[in-house]
Amino acid sequence: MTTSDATADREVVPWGGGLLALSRDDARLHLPAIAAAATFLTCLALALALAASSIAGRWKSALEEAVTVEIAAHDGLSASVDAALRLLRGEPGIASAEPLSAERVRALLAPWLGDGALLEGLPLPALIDVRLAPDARPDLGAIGTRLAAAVPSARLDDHRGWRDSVARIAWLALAGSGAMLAAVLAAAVSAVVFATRARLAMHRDHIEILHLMGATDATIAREFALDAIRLAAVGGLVGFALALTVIAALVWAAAGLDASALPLPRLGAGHWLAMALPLPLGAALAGATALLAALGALRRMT
Amino acid sequence: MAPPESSHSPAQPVVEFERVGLRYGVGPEVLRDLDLRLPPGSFHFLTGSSGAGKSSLLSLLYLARKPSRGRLMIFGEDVAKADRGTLTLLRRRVGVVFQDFRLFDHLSVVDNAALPLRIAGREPQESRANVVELLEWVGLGSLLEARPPTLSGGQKQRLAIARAVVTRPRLLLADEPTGNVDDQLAVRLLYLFESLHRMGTTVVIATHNMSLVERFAYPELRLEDGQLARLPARAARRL
Repeated sequence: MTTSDATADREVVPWGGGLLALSRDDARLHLPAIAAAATFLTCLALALALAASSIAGRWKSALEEAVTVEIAAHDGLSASVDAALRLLRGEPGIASAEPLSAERVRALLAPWLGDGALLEGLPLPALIDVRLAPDARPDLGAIGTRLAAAVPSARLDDHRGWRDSVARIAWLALAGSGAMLAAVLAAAVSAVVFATRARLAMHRDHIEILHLMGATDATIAREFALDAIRLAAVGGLVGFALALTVIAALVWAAAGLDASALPLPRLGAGHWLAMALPLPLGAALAGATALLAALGALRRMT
Repeated sequence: MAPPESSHSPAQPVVEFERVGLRYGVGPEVLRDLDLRLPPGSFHFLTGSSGAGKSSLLSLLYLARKPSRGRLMIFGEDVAKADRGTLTLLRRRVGVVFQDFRLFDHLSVVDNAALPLRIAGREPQESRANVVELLEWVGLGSLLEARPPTLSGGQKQRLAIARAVVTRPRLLLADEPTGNVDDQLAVRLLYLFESLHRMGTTVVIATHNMSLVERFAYPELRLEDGQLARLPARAARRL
């Protein structure tokens, strides 16, 4: 090969390496660790929020689809039940009204009163499970009034108190997750700012030379930003993998619980996708934070 | 606001000091009442004993610091009033050979030499061949991919010089550029500076090597105790 051939070959070789030896400083360890912890906690907080939202939604929906009619124990209870059933089954918007058997009523009361002789001796109320037609919004207040007029010992329970409690629990879970997310974000941003400043101090001599050669603050800050993105992506992947493992383990453990006590969350593809969002967003946030921190610090240099 | 490239007229001095003083912090002035004009294309040696202020004077010229008092104009810009953007553009027109080289150990020889071009946004396709040619000229053609820690002192010196001149700066400053090389190479490097000077670059070389000052007939700026004296070329002084 002639000299000119060799020179021609070299012309297409890009400039090698970054302007600064960022791959050789201690921040290579710190930033991924911070990113891994932040991504892990963010994913868990998101999973908690999504699960709480899913549980609350399903529970609320179940409560909204059914009401219960309770008829206090008295002589002629059976006739009262029949009268109530006739009225309920004739109301528009009600899909079904079925009395609960005495065994089912005893089973419902057993956790509070025990299933022994005490329960056997007690006069039990009658309960009617009323299902609303899908998408029907009957005026439950008016139905309750008509029912009370026809059967004075009957009371219609639309579960409003439970629904309000469920909504409050869901809101609290979301607020808790939001607060956790905010705390994680604040801690992660602070950590990236301090790590970037430490790196700037570490590379101060070379930064000064770059400045003296005419490098702009933006050029130098971009080096720190791109490296922060790379490191945050690596750490984020580790944190995401750990979070997925923990969430999968929790979902598996929850699958063995009695689902009648609490509806289990259903995490769909959209939810899993949402839990992956901290990965690119975390890397972008780390890059933006490093860029701004570096620009701020560089302005105070030569 | 950054100055346009053409804001400096060719007839204007490249460097102009008016009663310039420099102090570090609240310490005494290390440079006092400097008055100096360097016309375009001039060549000067900067001499003086150790501690006389040569490096401080050079740091003013390569815009690492601003004067504590007086007026310093470089390429027609008042340095004290220049904003960061202006200083950045001015610095791209100044080449500096540092006494301690200040090379980047993680970059190869060719990438170290090309650094000012890269900072200026030049693409490797445009300039890599010129960088290689320059490195061959300073005797580093066989070490293009070597890293600075593996180079000798003289090789580092030559690499530092290549990096300083690769952009063909309007003002070239060198702090003891021949301190780590033998006499033969020192003369060769001075010829390189001289050839740049002939192409219009203003050159200031701080040196203790009086034999070079004797050999190359250029005027001398003598710093003593923070004050500057301008002496004609030594050859002329002997006449």
